[in-house]
Amino acid sequence: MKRILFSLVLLSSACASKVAIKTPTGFADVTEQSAGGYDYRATSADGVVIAVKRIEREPRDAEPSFWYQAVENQLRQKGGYARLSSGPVKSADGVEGLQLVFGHDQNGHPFLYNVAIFLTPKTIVVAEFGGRKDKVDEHAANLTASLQSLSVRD
Amino acid sequence: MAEASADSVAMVAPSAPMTPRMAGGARKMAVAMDDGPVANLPDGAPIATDALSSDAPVAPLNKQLIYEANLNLAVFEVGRALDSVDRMSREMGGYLVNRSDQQITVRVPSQRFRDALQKVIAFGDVLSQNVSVQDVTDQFFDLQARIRNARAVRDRLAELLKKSVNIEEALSVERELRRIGDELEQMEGQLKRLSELIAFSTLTVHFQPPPRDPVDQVVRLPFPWLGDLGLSNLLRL
Repeated sequence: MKRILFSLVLLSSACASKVAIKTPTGFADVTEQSAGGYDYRATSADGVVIAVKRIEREPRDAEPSFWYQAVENQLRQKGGYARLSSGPVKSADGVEGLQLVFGHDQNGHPFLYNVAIFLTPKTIVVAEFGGRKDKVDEHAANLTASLQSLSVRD
Repeated sequence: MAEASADSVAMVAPSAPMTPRMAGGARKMAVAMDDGPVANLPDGAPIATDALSSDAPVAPLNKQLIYEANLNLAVFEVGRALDSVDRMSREMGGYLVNRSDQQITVRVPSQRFRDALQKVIAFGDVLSQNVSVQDVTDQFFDLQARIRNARAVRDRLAELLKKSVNIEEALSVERELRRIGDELEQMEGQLKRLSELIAFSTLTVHFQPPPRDPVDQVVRLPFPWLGDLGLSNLLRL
């Protein structure tokens, strides 16, 4: 009986860490194969990657605007990213967040980096996708659909 | 140039009797003291000794010395420290020579030199200091003697002018009188300047802000996950 209970607990925690998102068409879920501390990661054959990370929301009392600003500052001031646009976004389970789109040139190639931040009472969910601009543009519809399928509630 | 402890050095006001001496260059002795004690510096009382040698016997009075100090101070608020040095010099009966954003030169009565130095040191963290003592005794008395002689010559020429019998002779004496007069004026100016340098010591204080903990212009929040954001991590499968 104890062994069954223990197994259930393990199963339950595994499920809790599993991110509910629809893998974009043409992408492969490589969460198990890749490192980097992501809770979900999928890639296209041409190198566009979408990933989700769940982070414990600490400190809890920090407002969403704090986190949005922190992410934006991190990328603009330290990462050398140019903010192209930002706007509200909503997860599949109705949590509102902010989506930021950044541009970044590297070796003469423009790259796009898209990050959406959702906040639940206990968790910060960061959904990212990016890659070479021409490739991201090619997959844009599928990436958007995938992002809209993301459930973030605890 | 000699370097020595300054504990046997003091100064004298320029009230010495005129003693003709042969012209000689001023001797300058530097006392470089990196964070050195101020206790070794000349005290207020105007007692002259021979220059800067610890075993030197007490020299006859009337040494004419010029004291100069250059200090490099690391301070936090340069503007406030500059004001303090300026104010201190005025309170001591001295005056401001020049002032820039990072440097100030003031002059204080020689008798207050040690005092002033101590006060300046208290304004900041002394990185280095250099105190020099220039012995201008020979130069000072030689100048006085030359002035005295020139005045005597001038007086004699004036007498000659009165006794001149023709215009040619009078013109010649007048030319010589003018030359002596110019020379005298020049030497009196030098003596005045020298006396001033002896009576007032010069302190130049250069303020150099201490190397501080560099303040990061970019906000760094204590959330490591923020540092993981970006394409480099995202695309590294």
